Amino acid sequence: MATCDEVKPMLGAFADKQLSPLEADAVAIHLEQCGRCRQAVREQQRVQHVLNSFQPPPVAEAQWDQIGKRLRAELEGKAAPAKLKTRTRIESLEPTPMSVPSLRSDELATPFQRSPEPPRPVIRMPSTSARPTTVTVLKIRPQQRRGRFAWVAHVVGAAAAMIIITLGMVPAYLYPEPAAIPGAPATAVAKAAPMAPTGPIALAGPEDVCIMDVEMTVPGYNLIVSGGDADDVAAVLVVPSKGNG
Amino acid sequence: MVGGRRQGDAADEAAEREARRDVELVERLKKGDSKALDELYRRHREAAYGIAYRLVGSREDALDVVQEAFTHVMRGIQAFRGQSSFRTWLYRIVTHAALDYRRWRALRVADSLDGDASTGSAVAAVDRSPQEAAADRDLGAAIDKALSNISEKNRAALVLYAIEGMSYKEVADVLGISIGTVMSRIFNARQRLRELLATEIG
Repeated sequence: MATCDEVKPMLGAFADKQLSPLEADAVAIHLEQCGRCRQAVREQQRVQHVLNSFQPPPVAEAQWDQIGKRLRAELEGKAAPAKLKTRTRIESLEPTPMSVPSLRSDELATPFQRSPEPPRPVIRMPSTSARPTTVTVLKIRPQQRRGRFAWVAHVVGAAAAMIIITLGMVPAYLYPEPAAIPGAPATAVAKAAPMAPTGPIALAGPEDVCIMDVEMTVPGYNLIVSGGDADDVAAVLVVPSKGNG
Repeated sequence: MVGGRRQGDAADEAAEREARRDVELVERLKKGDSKALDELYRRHREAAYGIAYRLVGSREDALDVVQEAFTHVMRGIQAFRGQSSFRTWLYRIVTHAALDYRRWRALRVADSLDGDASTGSAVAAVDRSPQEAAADRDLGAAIDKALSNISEKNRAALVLYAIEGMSYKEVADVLGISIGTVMSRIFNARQRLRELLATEIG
């Protein structure tokens, strides 16, 4: 038999006869044994009955006509467009059968400012011929949560980056680069780097991956800081920009 | 049982007919046909008003919202691609407009201290006996007050469900949330109302 916690989310829908037969049977079996949930269903029905019995006040036909005339006048260009108190982006309000966007609380706060979700960018490694001295890690996904300890993730991420960079620089001192390419900025040799790019690498992937908002200059290295979410740095990846040099 | 199924089928057919008619009218409205606008307005104004009234809590404000919503429809009809029914689209616009209107109204009242919005219940009293009107006014005012004290999200789900013929699925489509979320929001909204209306509903 289902527990109270399992059926509780369905009690309102049960009272409204909005459950599938299978769900309704499961709830009905539970209700036979549970007086507390039966009481909750009765209360749901009672409140709904009160709401049903209370209809909005009627509107006189003349008032409906007045609004209709205003709308028609604007459509036919006989009246200047009315100045609206509410704003809207009509195209963003049409639910699609494929993906129904969720109204989050921040969207409810500014419901008409909503813009379509931008395409998810793909972070690609630079080609081995490129020699960037500035590594910019773009935030590809807005931070969804800002917990009280979100700053800890930033501190941990920065510390981890510094450790890895420091470790990566040691071999550069021990084994200096034999010859610098004219015009290129000073770079550290990537011999100690754990991996070298062999081609474009796409990091954008699962929903819960976000690249943190980090911009850092590391001569000769590409630094990519990635996190599980805003509170949890998952990995810091240091990749030499020079390739296998 | 068979009779019930027949009734359900008939209701489905009627809903389909209504939806098809909406599609025809939308196409005509896209070409600037004002009669199509008139008919769409007549067909949906009551339901739009019902949603707006329960979200803004005043007849005059609700009528304002209805006008704004239909103006949005008129101006944005070219962007409507028919991926949802016109009814769902309209209800979504009305819901957003009503919530937006409440904020606009709150700011305006705060600015001008102009809190004289007459309640719909008071206006409705015209056609009823004094006793009925008083009872309606009391219960209506209590419901209005209670609705305004539950969260916006829960209220929107409950209000949309309370509109005649709107299923949980339709509420989910209008609000852009899952049916499971609709279930919990409606359940929570009614539980909260139960607490707030303890005196009125016993």
